[in-house]
Amino acid sequence: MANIKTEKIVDGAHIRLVSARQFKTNRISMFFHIPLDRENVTKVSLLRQVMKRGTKNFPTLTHLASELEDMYGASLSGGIRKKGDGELFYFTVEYIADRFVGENITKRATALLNEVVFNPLVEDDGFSQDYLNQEKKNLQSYIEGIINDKREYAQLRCVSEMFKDEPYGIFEYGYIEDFDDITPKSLYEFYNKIINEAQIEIFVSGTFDDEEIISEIKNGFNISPRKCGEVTNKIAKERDEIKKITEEMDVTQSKICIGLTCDTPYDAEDYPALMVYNCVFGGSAFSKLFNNVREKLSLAYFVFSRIDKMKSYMLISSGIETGNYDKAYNEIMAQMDKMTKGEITEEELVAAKKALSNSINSMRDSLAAMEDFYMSQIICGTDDSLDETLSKTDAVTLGEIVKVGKKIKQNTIYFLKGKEE
Amino acid sequence: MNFERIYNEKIDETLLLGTHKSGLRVALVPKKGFSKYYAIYGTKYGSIDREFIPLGESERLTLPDGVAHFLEHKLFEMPDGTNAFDHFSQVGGNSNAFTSFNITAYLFSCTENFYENLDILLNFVNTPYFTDENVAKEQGIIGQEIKMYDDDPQWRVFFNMLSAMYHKNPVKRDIAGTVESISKITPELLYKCTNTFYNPSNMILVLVGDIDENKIEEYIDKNIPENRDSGEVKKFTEDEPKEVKEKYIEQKLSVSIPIFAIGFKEKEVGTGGYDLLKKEIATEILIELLFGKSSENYIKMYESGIIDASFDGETELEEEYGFTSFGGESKEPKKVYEAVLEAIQKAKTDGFSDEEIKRIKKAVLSDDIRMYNNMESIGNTYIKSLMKGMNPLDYTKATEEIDKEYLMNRLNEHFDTENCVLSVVYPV
Repeated sequence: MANIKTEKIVDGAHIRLVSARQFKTNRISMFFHIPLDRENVTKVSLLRQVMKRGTKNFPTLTHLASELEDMYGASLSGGIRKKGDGELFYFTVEYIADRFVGENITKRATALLNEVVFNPLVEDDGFSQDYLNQEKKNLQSYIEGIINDKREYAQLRCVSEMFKDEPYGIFEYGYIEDFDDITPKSLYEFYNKIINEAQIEIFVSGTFDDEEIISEIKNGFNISPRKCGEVTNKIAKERDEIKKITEEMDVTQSKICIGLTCDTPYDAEDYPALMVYNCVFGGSAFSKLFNNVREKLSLAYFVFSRIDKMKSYMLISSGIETGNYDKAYNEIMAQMDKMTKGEITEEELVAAKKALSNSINSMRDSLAAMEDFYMSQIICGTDDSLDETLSKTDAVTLGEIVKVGKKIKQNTIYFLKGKEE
Repeated sequence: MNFERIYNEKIDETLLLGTHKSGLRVALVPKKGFSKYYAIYGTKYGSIDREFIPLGESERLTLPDGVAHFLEHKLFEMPDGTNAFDHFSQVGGNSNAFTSFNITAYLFSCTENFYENLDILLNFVNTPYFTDENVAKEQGIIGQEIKMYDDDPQWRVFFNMLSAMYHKNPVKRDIAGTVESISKITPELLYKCTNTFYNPSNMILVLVGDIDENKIEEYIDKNIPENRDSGEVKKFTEDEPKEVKEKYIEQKLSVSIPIFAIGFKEKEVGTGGYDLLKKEIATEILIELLFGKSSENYIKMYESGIIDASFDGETELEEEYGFTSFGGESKEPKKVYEAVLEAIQKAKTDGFSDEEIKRIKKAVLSDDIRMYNNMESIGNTYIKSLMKGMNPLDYTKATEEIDKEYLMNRLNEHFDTENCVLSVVYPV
């Protein structure tokens, strides 16, 4: 893999060094790659909350926050990220690079990450009962609060209907109904399982001494060899009949969300054509959806499409007047029809390739984006560099776009229906 | 065009400042090693500028709400019927714009063809083209934008807070206006605004990236005539009382949990430049000292369950107005309100320890350094600061100058528990 140096710790655990001097900060992230499954998803979600509350040496939020502030405003984040039918469970410490503060913060940051992940606060063979109770309440209000952002909510509902009864349809933040069965002890047992069995990827990005950081991690982190069961991934399946869901709500603006299958996996030869397709169709401010649904017909303020690399599906989203549902839907489909017929101008093709080149090159300007890019590559087992990805999208022809477009099929239409005027 | 070069050694950042012969101020932040370039071109004209004397006239004009924002949308249309987005797209530029209370700004980022993109930016902003037809079309689009915000509880709780806080200052009015107010917008009105506010000495251009300062003038010359400048804009604002208008405001929306904002109104307005920068940083330090994650107040509220991780504080201080707000989600917003007021009163009596102040200053300084990782953040921060007469490179010095006494004075002056607002959005 280009631009990145790999060091094996033990079987199933690696350090990835991404060296980039232009940044003022460094990042150290530890990822656990695990399958998305209904039985454990809520535990993972609670785990990331509880582990951020305190450790043996920093037992409270106040201790942790003071340490971070004293490390020149470092930040600790813990998260979960869906990646196809699997998920990443991770912790990141981000901090100002040593040369701007004249101190070895890298050493402290590595130690803090080690502490948070491997030395949690444990009482009677379990996590703190208080912390778990409080974090259950917080997670509950977070889950219930998804509905507060109507655009996000509509997209989430569309995806969960489209992938119902499949791993990808599982909500990664978990389910309130699972809370009662999760105890400090059972959560701690689950923690031990992840820590000892899941695939580990540690990313160090920014400016650092390779040898020093490798030895800090290898000598300091208690990582045993692991087998890591394979996390499988299947692309979105076509549906014989389009699934239509309408939900009514007391809102001013209605949201339409359409899920479509693309049948073009990320490692397929025509995947770059799908990227160009999406850009021309709805992935940009010069796209057909933007220019027609918004600019020409004034039906919406936002309308866009995006594609998911691992699951190979497309999502179209727009906010409209309730009474304009048919108009908006028909126009979206009319634009898709133009794509399939090859009614794409030379300007649109040039613009799409330039936009993709812009967004791919822009990834180099963000440590977080690079980390995510390489992490995805590891999961997918692909090893195209940014430059190789660029040259592939650049070579896409009109014929290839039409061909890839013909495979795109409507799957699920979700309508969040507001008040009629 | 000559540039003054300012360097901050501690953070290793440079700023080049110059003024074009048209009166346009130009700021360049050289960045090497990044792929991206960023340019932002803005006018000191936002939603609060609603009363002024249009260029070449003698009578005052009061605008309907939402004109500055409407104009921002419309400028993308070109006289030849094309759209600026399409021009950018041909040379790989990713363009956008925003309207705030006091700035309208147009921007692009790109990883190639920087000067071609710059040419398009300067060109489209300086060629307004408004017709009855294109104005009517935009009323539909912005109507949907307004409705989207009407359903957004975070947005509503914030604007409700401002409308309770202010008696007269237009900061209380929605930036995009209302469906009704934008129906009054005409091409003639829009031309009056561009003629008056889009004049070079009222505007700033900020460029970020690996850019040759000697190449910039040519593109400004090409797009901005030397004699275009019309001097200072004559605008008016009504006097605003120091007291808040109402102490409590609520609304009901389709939400799962109450959403709240607690706002403190700035009483000592009229400061700009370095003094305002210092005031801003001191307010940020106070927010952290009072309710930051390492504070006793935060942990008490968090552990008792009245706040969650969404709890946050922010401040916006301008020459004409200012406020600080604390917001989040809570089942018991009134309890949070009481706890916040109580904590502030306690801090006024007990003060802060040297150790806490030192630690928070470290953290606040790091946010400034961190900002230089991102081209967009640099450009946006610089244009906002320069419009207020601040030099962002003074951040380090200003932070170091802030001592305990300055903080205590600021605490007493700004965080007046008799002069604050609680705004809540409750579930239907």
